[in-house]
Amino acid sequence: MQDLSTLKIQNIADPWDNAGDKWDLIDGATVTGDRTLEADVVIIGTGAGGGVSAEILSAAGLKVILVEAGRLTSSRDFTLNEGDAYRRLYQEGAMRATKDGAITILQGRTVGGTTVVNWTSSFRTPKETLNHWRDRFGVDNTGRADLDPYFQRMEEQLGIEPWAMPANANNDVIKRGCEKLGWDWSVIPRNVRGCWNIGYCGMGCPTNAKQSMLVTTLPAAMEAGATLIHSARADKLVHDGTRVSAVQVTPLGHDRNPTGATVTLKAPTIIAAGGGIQTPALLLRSEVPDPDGRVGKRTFLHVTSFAFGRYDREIAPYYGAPQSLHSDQFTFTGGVDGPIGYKLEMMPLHPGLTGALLGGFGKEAREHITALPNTAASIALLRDGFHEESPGGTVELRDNGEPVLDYPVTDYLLDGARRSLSSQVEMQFAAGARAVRPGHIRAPFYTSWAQAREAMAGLSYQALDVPLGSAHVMGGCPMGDEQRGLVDAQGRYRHLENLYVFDGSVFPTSLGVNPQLSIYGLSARNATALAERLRA
Amino acid sequence: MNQQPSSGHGGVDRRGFLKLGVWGGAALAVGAGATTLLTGCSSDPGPASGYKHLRDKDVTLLRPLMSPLLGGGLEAVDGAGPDQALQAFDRLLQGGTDGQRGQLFQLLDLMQLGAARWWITGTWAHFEEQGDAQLLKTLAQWANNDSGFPKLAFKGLTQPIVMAWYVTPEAALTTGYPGPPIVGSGTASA
Repeated sequence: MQDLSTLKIQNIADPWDNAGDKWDLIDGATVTGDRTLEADVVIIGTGAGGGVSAEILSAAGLKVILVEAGRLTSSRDFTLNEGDAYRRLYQEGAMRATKDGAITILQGRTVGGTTVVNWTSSFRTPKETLNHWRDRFGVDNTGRADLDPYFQRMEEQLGIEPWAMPANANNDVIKRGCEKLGWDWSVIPRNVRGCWNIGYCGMGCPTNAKQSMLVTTLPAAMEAGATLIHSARADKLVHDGTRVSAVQVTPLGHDRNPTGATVTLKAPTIIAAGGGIQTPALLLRSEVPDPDGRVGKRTFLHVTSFAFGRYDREIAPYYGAPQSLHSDQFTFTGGVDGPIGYKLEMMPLHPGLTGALLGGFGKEAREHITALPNTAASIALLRDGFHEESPGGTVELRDNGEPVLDYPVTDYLLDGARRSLSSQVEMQFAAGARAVRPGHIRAPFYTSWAQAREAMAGLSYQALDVPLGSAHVMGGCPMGDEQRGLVDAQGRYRHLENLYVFDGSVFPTSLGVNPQLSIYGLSARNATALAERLRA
Repeated sequence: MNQQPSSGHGGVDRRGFLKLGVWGGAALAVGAGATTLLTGCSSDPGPASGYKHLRDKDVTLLRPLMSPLLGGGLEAVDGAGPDQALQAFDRLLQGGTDGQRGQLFQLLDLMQLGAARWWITGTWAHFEEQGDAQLLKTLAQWANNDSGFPKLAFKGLTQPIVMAWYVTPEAALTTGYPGPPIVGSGTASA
């Protein structure tokens, strides 16, 4: 039996040790009086877009202030306790869901954003996706040839390479299943250096092997003189309808309640980098000019279905690199804009998330969760936003200004859920599973592919019948030409002259791949161009 | 007893009830009297003693459900009882937001009403007045109800409770998970 519970992880170098002494760091929890700070550039958010932009702009000699609603935590704080991780590092404590409860959303909320808790899969944006953006949304100069130099630069900086160690037993399901069925599969490139292969990417990497923004671009920006205010929520952009003059920020205490102070950040250039949901929510709260009412619309999720396989051999799905193999057998088979395509991957299983995803109650649910060591979990990422029946969701504001995503689960999407569950069940049986259960509230564990295929044809597919998740929030502030885009391909907001959006919210559709490298590459390209313009 | 609005996915007229917030819409369907229950925090009694978020009435409502819901998961941890599961739920809620917790409290308020319990779970009686065998039957009826609101309520309530229980290190170890590596000084809090 695999058992890492006696493995000791100690003496890990942490770039944030003594950060308060060497860098300009402000903990919002300590700010109890009103303050005003000025810089050349204010960046709202410290995830994939904010981190990359901060490093590039700081290196160009510009004074940067970063503001982040999450708290600063780093390797010394990562306990590998699942509950701690959800409470501290995830939006809404990992209980974020779409408005009607149908889709659970895992998204980071900490310094470094989702890059601190993602599973390290790093793909370049597919050319099919970029071509679709050019053809349907008028996104110019953003093809693979334009972005490849920036992808390459980020791959080198973040150590992105196909995973060289053997896949864990959970990911090996992809290889065994796909080989047997003659399906495509390949090795996932990961952003790690000296990875210990322990499997806790989703709880904050305790060894700093994961090359998240927390240990790469953000320390580089700080070293170059950037200021970071964490535990501080950007509430509003102050603007006159043509320019943003300041960002109004509410410092948050350790309990995440406002300290009562207001911080005002002033700069001639403002970058929104809060990611999908957060950036559109900021723009909505700020009532920015938006003549066509596009802010927050067309938010995409890579809506994800799940299937659980039970194996005679031990799987230990909680240990080992969480994602190392994937299959594109079904990603673009129906064409870029046909019936929804999906990428097959695996997901790590720790007890809490497993319990929530398995659902059910009583003895049967208990029996399922106690089979955890022999359970594998496949996922399918549905490529939403490429078809007219896939308009995605709309970010709305609750009365208190918190965002909530209204994402109707359409028949188009449910058709994808049905097909993707079928593929996953077939793949897991081909990989040698003794029993497989598709993620459907009325489905049991089936004991053969023949039995499953027949029984699954009789299942109904409605929104809450199929547990759906998402770890990739994209769109809501899309790039495009003047008719279709809120920002241009350089990330400039079309209706406020000094506002830029450098994050995943600018994608006009989903991607078809895990998004981090797409955000890194596009932000690097656009931040480099911005730095040149600002220094000119 | 009003029926839920017809048509739409799972018998829910989605656009209609979303305007009111999920549970506000549900309250309308249960009966006009219920909406007065959901009119904000003015009469909110605050958290129960020893809790940061769950209120006395929530603890009383949910306590009887913990053992049958977790199906032996509670008993598998030495000395654990329903209050430990509720404490774990309360800790999970600590990571949430006011708006999100507000939605949960709306559902819990709704479920204080016999009519709502009948509609959602198929039983009128308070959970406290149901024995374990009856509670299992109630949970089964609820889980198998194909109407939209009961399905949403089942997922919205049971999913975080189960997650909250199994993220506790003690309960996690009862699943066969050997536990995480030891980091730093090795002191991990629950």
